[in-house]
Amino acid sequence: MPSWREVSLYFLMLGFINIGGPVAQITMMYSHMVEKRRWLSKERFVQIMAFCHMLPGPEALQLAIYVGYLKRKLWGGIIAGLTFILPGAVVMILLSWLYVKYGSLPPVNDFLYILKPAVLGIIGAGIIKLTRAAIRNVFLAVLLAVAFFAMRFAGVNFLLILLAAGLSNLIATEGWQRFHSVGLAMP
Amino acid sequence: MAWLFLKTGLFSFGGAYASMAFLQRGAVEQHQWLTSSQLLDGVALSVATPGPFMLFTTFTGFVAGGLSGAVIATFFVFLPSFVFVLGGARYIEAVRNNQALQSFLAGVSAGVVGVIIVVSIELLPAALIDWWTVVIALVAFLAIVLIKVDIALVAVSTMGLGLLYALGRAFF
Repeated sequence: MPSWREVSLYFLMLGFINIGGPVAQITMMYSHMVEKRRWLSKERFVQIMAFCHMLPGPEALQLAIYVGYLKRKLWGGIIAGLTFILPGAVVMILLSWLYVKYGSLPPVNDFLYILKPAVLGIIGAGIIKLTRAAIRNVFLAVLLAVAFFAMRFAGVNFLLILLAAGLSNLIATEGWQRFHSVGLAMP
Repeated sequence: MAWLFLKTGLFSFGGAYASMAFLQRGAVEQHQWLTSSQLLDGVALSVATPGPFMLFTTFTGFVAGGLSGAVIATFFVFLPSFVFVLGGARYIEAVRNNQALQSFLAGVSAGVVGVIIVVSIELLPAALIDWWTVVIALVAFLAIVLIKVDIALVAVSTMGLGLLYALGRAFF
């Protein structure tokens, strides 16, 4: 079992270097934790990743919390998560402070003029990836479209949209299975 | 304020993009703590900072309520992650094998993409103000989708470009 010192120092280090999207972060964590440090097996890592993927919130952070928990129980998880967020949060607060103070200066605006559209490009690419992962059948594609129109043109509250989408798919799959099993049971 | 950020942390299926949707609706439209353009600035800064992409919630908190706003926002956005993981850690197999829960979550994941697309469309005018910005957005998009350039690389190189442009305009 790795020591407290090793666990907290590792996640603190990770907190500083994990720039980029979740995929890059998780790939890096895999190479560190599974290949180099051998804290857990590949199978266990993949299993945990699938679990974190399901949960709402940032996957890389959740992965860090889980591994911290595996290594050092409850407090290990808490320490791993905190050290993982802290460096980024401190940097972000500093940047926000600078932004509020100097955000209206022309050079800052020029800088953001270039950066913002690139971020839109990144978001667009993220949407493509999310769509590919989420749409596994025609019904899910329909749900996506309905959610889009409900939000864009009918202004439906989107917690309501998410809840309705989840329930519809639940009813659809369960219903489909019932239908199937009934169909098979009948001669 | 705590409630908005807690909600954001609780329901951001699909990660940071979903939380962007929550903040666009809650912090921008409903409470008007900041403009969509500022929100996008925050997202831009968070891409450039280490740590989860979702740290732009910290930025939103800061713009809305200074240092204490930032601390509250960060705490409540990430709190659910700790609770879910540490609370669910022992049931990971049961959760994975629960067919009903999986179906429900699959539906939510599809719906959330629709929501994210709507919000992203609303954010377009804040950044795409002339042809140059459209070109930048397209190049970034295509670089990631077509030639699989890592997001971090796209972020860092645009930051470099932005810095050069800002310095160029300031001194020449």
